Amino acid sequence: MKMSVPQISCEQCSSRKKSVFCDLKKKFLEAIDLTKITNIYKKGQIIFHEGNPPLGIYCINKGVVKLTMVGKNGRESIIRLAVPGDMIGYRSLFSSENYLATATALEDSVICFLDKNFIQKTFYEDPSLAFHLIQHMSRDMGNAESRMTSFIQRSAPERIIEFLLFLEKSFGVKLPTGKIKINLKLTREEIASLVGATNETVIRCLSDLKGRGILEQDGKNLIILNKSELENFIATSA
Amino acid sequence: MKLQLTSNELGQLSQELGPVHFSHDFNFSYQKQIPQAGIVLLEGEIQLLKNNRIQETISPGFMLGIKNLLNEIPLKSGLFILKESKVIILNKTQILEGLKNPSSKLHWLMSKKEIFSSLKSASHLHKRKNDTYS
Repeated sequence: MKMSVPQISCEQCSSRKKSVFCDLKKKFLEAIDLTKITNIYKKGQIIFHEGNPPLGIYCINKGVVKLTMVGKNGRESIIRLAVPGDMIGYRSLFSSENYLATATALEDSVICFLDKNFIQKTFYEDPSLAFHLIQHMSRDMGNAESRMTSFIQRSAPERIIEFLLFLEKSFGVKLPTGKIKINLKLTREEIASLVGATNETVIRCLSDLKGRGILEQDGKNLIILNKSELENFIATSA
Repeated sequence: MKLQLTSNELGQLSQELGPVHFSHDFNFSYQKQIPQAGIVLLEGEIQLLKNNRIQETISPGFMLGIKNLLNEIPLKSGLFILKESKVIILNKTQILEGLKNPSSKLHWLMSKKEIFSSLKSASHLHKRKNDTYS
């Protein structure tokens, strides 16, 4: 996919309604427009690196970013996926710690950067930004807690199905046939890392779902044939 | 893209803006991106990368990316900071604040290096510059 450096006004941004900047006053949106740096990160390019100092926050306009951490055994784990409207890098910025994770573009992504000084200055001038940010952080924390509960209480196949439903919600595109195509290419290793399972378990579970006519594959894309069956599986196992 | 600073200029800038330490190799800005900040290298090395090849290795004492940042011009070469480098980060907000404050060391340095005068061509920042003075 060839992309040129975009000039995106915050007021026109399609992801704004989902971000912490949704209710900011016009004058602050204009100030953001003048300060932000918008760049394209190609698939595989790193936005920030674990262990390095935070420079500001990143707001995703288009694309998908994976946040990974390397464990003591040297194994990389994906801790979350960030999608348009999401903000990344704020935790380290506000805690004045170095980044605990590495952010990598999973596909060509358009990302806006706001520097640390601008964020601090805007907080003083418009406390509503701080309020929205707390809401955003609380949601992220809630998601992290749900994931932790899922890791403790659910089996690996249940977590994989739960993840398929998350993919459907975030990246699903309904086809004319009624099938739902997941518009994100993830490797089996990446799925395994996201759900905390082994590659073999992921392969076995996906094959099982294909065998039962719930899932199919078109190249690297997963296609959900029967969403309600997946939902039932999660509901009955809860 | 790069400007050399004297040891006096480096000292003055370090006093006003604390340096940061990069413990891991990092693509600070990729080729064809607008840098997220300007950088002044105090210790370590920065490589200028073009098409994934090292074009030049920058040693301490240089300021990089400022004009690209302020005029929103994509970099012809990526900036790759090698691990254990120490740099001063100059972000857009700090520079715009420097415009407002003639007594700041940043203002002094930017004027000396004719960086503020290069803003004349950047209408978006020129507007901001006028706003900050109003």
